[in-house]
Amino acid sequence: MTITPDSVPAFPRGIKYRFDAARAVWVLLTPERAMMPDENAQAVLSGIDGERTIAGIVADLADRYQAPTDVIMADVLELLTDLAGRGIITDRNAS
Amino acid sequence: MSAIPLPMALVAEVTHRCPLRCPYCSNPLEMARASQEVSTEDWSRVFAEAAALGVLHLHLSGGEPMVRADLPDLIRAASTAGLYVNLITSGVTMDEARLAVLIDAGLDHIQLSFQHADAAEGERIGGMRGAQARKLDAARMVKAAGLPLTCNFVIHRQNLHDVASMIALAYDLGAQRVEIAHTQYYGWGLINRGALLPDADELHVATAAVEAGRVLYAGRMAIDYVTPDYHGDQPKSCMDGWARRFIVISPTGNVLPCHAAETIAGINFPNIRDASLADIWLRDPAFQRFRGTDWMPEPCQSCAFKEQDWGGCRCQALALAGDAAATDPVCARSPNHQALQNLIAARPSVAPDFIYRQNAKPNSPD
Repeated sequence: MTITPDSVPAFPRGIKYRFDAARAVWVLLTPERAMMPDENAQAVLSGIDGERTIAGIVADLADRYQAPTDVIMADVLELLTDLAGRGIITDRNAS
Repeated sequence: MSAIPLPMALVAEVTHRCPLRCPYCSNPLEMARASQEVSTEDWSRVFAEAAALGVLHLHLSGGEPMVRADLPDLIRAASTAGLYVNLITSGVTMDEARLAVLIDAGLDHIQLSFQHADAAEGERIGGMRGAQARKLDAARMVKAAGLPLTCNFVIHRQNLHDVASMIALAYDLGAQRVEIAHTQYYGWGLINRGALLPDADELHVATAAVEAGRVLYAGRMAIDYVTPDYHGDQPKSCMDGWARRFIVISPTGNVLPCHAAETIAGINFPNIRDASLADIWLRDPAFQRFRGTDWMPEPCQSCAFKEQDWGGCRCQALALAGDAAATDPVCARSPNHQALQNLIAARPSVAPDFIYRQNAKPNSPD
């Protein structure tokens, strides 16, 4: 799967991303693991709603953090390409 | 004692009833009857308490959890509480309508157990005729429904020469993950140890097949390997340490740090009908008994690995050394290590017949 700015990332069935109140952290749950994403990854993952494109998510982050879009885009594509390769996100816009 | 870690996972053994009779079943020899099982309401309360306490994954296990008619209610309660819900099933009672109800209730993942890749051998080991076709159908239904699937194969001296076919079958069924797990020697597995325990050469065959499979299926399917009890010089970090990450609850509601903990005489395990899960986890003496490192004898106490293997397995120490507080005899530093080597060497050269698990009234009403 190739992740591009036009991709619409979503969490597939079998993946859960939620706030764990007991530890006060966000957790990304797969069948066998519980990951605790760092603050940067959290900002990206929290923008995933299965409807917005990566371009939309990045524009929002660039606005919120007052950072250059191309720098954020590179980071977000790297993160989501890695997660897609591990089956943790899918692209709803993929043919 | 340092701060008590929050539990990560809850294994809910919702019943001991099961249509299969696997001779390595981890259930105790004395199994709970349907009338003794925890109610829907109590399980639902416990799932909410577990999530609030920090539990992230719920593994619904048994017995065969699908024999409980209220399974959809249990899944819905757990999912609503925020738990990741994994169903560990033999698949033999699965049908499409039932699966759809479970998914609708919030089921996240299915772990489907197999006794072998070969139908006749699998059905001999599991003690149920016609089981394999039902399992294969169940796997196809799970995939068709879009749920992630893990296939689990339990291996021992009677099937470990076919690990490559097991891995291939899991891949053909569309599993994201396959677990190749050596039997453990508790409960029925201890009674049948002579029929199950591999020698070093057989172990090598199984391990080599897993390593070859990992190369062959790299990037397409993950292969987890649960190494065998008894073999090796350093003990496994059993349950990742007593009461560090896992909670197991028996069908009658006893709360345990591991499946086999009730084999340890002299410890009274608490019941969910009498206390909250948080009280049990944080304060119950049974959970404090082997938590951390304070309880450890020598050679564990001065060992550099004591916070890696946490002294190994308490139930194995009891079964092999006669003392649950002893160093796990798998450890090369244990005074009982040589006796364990002798036990492996003295295994019967021909596997004896299985003693099959006798079921806790599998057909009795819920």
